[in-house]
Amino acid sequence: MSKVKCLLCPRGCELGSGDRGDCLARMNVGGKLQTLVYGKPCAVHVDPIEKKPLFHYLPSSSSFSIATAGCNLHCMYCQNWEISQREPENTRNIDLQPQEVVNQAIAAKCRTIAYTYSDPVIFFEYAADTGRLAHKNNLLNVWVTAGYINPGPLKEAVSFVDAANIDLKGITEKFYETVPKGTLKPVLDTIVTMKREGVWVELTNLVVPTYNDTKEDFLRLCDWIVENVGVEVPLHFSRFWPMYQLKNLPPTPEETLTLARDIAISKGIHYTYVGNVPGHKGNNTYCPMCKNIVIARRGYMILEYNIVEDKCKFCNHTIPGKWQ
Amino acid sequence: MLKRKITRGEFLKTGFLGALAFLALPLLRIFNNRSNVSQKDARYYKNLAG
Ligand code: SF4
Repeated sequence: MSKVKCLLCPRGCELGSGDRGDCLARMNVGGKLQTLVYGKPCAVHVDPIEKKPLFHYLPSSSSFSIATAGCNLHCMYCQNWEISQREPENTRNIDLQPQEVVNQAIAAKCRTIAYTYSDPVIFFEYAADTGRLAHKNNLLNVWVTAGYINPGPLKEAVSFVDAANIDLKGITEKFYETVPKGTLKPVLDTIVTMKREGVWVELTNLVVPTYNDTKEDFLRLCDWIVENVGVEVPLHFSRFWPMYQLKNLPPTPEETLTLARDIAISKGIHYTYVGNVPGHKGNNTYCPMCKNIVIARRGYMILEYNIVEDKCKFCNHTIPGKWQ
Repeated sequence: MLKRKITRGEFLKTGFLGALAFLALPLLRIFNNRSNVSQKDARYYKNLAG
């Protein structure tokens, strides 16, 4: 029987009959490419939207969060490897069709549905149907993604994705080859496309000791952001915790994250955060004009809120984001 | 080495208690109302990042 080629992500798997894609979630069944995870999430939670992390999008609202098994990247440090690096038959799944996801999100008083934990790219059909249904029911869609997707499906995705946190895991092809086992270029293209098409974009860089934690790495990453998407895109430097195949490394030292944040600020990036370190000054949002704290946070918790409509309460400067 | 011979009564009593424990363990599981999610599953369903 002839091979089929999956056009969803840059891996472009060519699958013989019965073969499974690199993401473990798609298969050639009798000459037809099929998703194995439609309506079968293995994780369903109600999370604060700050956990995604999205800091400029409906703050302190709840997000109905779903994920299926599988992933098209294979990060050595994956924090969710128990679901992302497993076949769907080896996770505990529940049957939750798109209409039911929407019903449960409404019942849980969520304003958004987040497609997260693994990567919505690999459960594209499920995320697309759910996303369109969500719009009909006044819910918004949030993608938490590595952005490893082809331009065709991405064009379709931007029609129903409202906000995204995109992982910019590193800034060299070498890093992408070694750690996530992918390529950098498609990720950069996704970030630019989503921003251009009006999706609210925030970026996350997980800082891994010895892999992407040098001053040069941070300088390059910030330069790329400033040149290609501008200084208003929020950037989260997140602390790595020893996991999966990188248990031998220590957690990211706080000083490294502070250095990364300082470099981003020196490059003019207005909203730079430090994640997974509760109590760090980088948990807060500062007004770039008057430097006052406009949102004080501890981890995901909001302690103080000084934005009126979309403006800093102290100096009236507009803070980009969706606040209501 | 055991000096004293085990009496028939002692033998039956120990056997009876052993059998009771053997039967009771699965019964305890049936009446235990904890969910059947394993500790490992419970951990990863609760602590997912993102
Ligand atoms: S989505 Fe999965 S099957 Fe399709 S190309 Fe990517 S890794 Fe391969």
